[in-house]
Amino acid sequence: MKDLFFSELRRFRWLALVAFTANFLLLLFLHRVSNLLQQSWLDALPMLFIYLAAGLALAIAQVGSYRKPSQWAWLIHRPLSPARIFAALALSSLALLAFVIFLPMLLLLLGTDFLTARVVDLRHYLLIVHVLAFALMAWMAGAHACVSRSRMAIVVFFAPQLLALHLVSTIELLLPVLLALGWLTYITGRSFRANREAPIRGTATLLVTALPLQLGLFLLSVVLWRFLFVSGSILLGVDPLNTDYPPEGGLIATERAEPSEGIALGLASSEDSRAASWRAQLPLLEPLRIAPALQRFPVRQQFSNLYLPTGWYDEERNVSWTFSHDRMLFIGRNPESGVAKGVFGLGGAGDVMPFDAVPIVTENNDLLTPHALYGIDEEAQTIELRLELHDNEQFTAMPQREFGRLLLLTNQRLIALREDQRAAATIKPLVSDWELALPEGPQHLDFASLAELMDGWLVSFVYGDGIRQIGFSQFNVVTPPWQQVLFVDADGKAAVVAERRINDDRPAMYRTDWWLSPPLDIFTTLPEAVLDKGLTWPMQLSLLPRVPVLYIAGALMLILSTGTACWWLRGTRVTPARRRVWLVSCALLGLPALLSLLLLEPRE
Amino acid sequence: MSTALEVVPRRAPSTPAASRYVIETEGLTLRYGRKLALKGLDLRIPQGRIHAIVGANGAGKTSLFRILLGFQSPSGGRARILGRDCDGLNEHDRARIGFVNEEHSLPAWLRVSDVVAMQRRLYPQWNEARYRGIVGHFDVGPEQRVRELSRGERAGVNLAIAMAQSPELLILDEPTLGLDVVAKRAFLEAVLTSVEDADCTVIYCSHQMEEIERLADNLIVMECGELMHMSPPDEFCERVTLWVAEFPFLASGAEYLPGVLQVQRIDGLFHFIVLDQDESFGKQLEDKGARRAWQGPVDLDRAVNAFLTRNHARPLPNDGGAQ
Repeated sequence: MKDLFFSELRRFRWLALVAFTANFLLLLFLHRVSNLLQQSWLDALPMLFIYLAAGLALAIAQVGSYRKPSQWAWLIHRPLSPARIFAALALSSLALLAFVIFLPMLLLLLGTDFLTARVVDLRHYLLIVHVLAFALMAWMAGAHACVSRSRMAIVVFFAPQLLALHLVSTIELLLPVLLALGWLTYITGRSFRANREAPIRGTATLLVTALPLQLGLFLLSVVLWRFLFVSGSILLGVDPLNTDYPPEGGLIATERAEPSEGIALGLASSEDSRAASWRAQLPLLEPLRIAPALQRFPVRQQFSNLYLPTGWYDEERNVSWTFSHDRMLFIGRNPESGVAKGVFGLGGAGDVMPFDAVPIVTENNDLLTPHALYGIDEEAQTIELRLELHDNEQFTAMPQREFGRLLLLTNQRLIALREDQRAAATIKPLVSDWELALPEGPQHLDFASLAELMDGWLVSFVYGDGIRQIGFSQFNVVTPPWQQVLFVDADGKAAVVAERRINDDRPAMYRTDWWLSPPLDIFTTLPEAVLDKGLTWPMQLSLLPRVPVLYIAGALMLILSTGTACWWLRGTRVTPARRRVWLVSCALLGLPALLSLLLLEPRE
Repeated sequence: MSTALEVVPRRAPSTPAASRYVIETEGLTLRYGRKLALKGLDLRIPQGRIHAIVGANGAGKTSLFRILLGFQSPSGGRARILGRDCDGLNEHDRARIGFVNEEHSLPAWLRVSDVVAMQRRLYPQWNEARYRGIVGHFDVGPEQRVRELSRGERAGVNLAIAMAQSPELLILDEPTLGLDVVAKRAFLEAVLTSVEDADCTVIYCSHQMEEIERLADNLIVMECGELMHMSPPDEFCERVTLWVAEFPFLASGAEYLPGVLQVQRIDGLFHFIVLDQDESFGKQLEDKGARRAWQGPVDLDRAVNAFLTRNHARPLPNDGGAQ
């Protein structure tokens, strides 16, 4: 085993050396151009993909070269168990990937940590461990596909990503990542056997191997279905999104309308005597639209930064403040000289009192945590608490300064605040102007529109169908779309002046994919529901939409899958017990289980 | 008039102790879709000596080896190698079986000495003298990289490594394919000398009859996934005989006589290669109008060739524009 391990290292040593040098130089270059350690996840994602591709490419070059029967015979036909042969290959790939991917990043981190004043946190060290683990997972998936009957086996890679790829704490992510890596290692290790064509032995091994395959196939079928459905609808000219004139009274028209038009649409059915007057005024006003676009807040030791600023630049003092997740306060640095410029804690410059959550820096240099709004007094170099939310309440949009007010949207309220101009302080205290409680819960809110009238406010809430994509999952809310318009008078008293139902223009088939496999649809949302603690719309395992056609489609899918499985199994040599396991899987999981059956149980 | 040729497989003399067989198959069947690669193959290869397996492409030789080495499961029947079920071979069993295939797969990025060192550590029963003895037939330096070796040199190193592992059974699957005459000769000499030295059974698969003639103690003929013949090569040659006949006219119908494997017209004479026919065949030829008929010598190459092509289109005796 040791010889095989070193043999594989020697095989790729020059390539590894070139890749190491290229990676190190590229990282150095990028680190000079921008601070790699504080980049957003969107900027980091291409790099992660490159490292995943490197792991996959290594697997194809290494294990793929043994796929040919004569080469496979040379590898396997020796006095070593296949498990030890696999261990030698896997360990050599781990060493190579560590050299090419982990080591350059570690050198960069150590250099930055010990030679500069830039912020380097524990999460950065853990991040490179995770990146190595992901590259190794890609290698495992590639190796599994190389030694499996079908190269479609590569889809097993998707399932562990459901578990491991989340914008959560790198510490909390250690367990899921290790589980995902262990899962893939087990599957790949079991696929290393002399007879690659043979069915998997043991029901437990079969289940552990089949589940990621089924999840991967489910995700693949979802993507394919969406593509086929949308492109088919476009071709037939019936796609509601692919038209300049969406159906009147529908959600798409409401979403595309200007804010003033949107409020007017809501007022059209109003029985309030002032409605006509308001509708006449609206074109002259410039209403504001505010949407709960803040899907998540950063969490401590997060895997990567969000696409939101977590620091600010003090021009007057030439200090760049960057938030440290280790110390939970800002660390100052002169961007030109690189000299350290102290800390900025909750009590201001020089104070080491930590924040209770990782803040976001707003456009106006306010600091926003999920539950509080702070103002930075740049002159005094202090931080003032401006607003604290109730328990279980958190911001769902960035604060907006319009109409001379500070408008805040939370998961429970829309709040309008005024600054108390009478106060002498640089950061004026906030005084409540009015607030509206959201009637239906925040997860339904599509957007709100506000128009300031002479004698009050018109506020429109549109509750959409809640389609949103987070990670691999698409979420759909049960409630049909509707609109509510409220009038808030000068005293801050609110009254509903109009409500209307909005037609959901998108076909039911467009809105959800659960009918392809209801249990797997729920299964794919589980990791996000459990792990993603930074989400402002807490992940909910929503009920299935009450659309008869989806139930019929779902039932048909299960029946067809089970029937096809029954026919397929007749041509195989599986035991009766195993046949039952497969039939139950197909009856429960539908199409993905059937596809995995076709891949794992060859017919005679 | 047509006569079905009936080939009765002849088997090696039965041996009572099952352990004396290195390879045993019973009703071994392998199906690729609708095609049967092996059709209920019953084969028992006794321990010791060199056993040659011959057969046309698609006869099932490589499929048989894949099953024997546990790389493929049969569709039916069972196969045992060195007394072990083929689908349950472990690392200890594999240490007892050497395998050399036509591609001579060796890690191209290593030096010969590294490959040898690696194998030496893997096989406790490694025989260094045997390795040196065999590799000495080839002009291979230990510091050469495998990728720098010619095909013949790679074959030599591969054989030397396989033999130095002191296997009880050595399977050589078309090992001389693509080798030049010199390399082939060196390879065959190496096989012969090493088998004489070692207590090893060799299964040798090849299309080269001169190699078989030179090496094999036992000849196994496979066709379309079935065992057609198994005996020492001499016995096979005794079954196959050549009759030369002189006919005054064409289309005598003699090619349809029982046992005729092949008919060729050479220099105006008809050459009949026949199976399992005695002296009376000459009389049958004369009955078909031959002026005279006599028996001639037939070598293994021609005999096997005729045997394997008997079901193909019969060559017409009047081919070639003769009168």
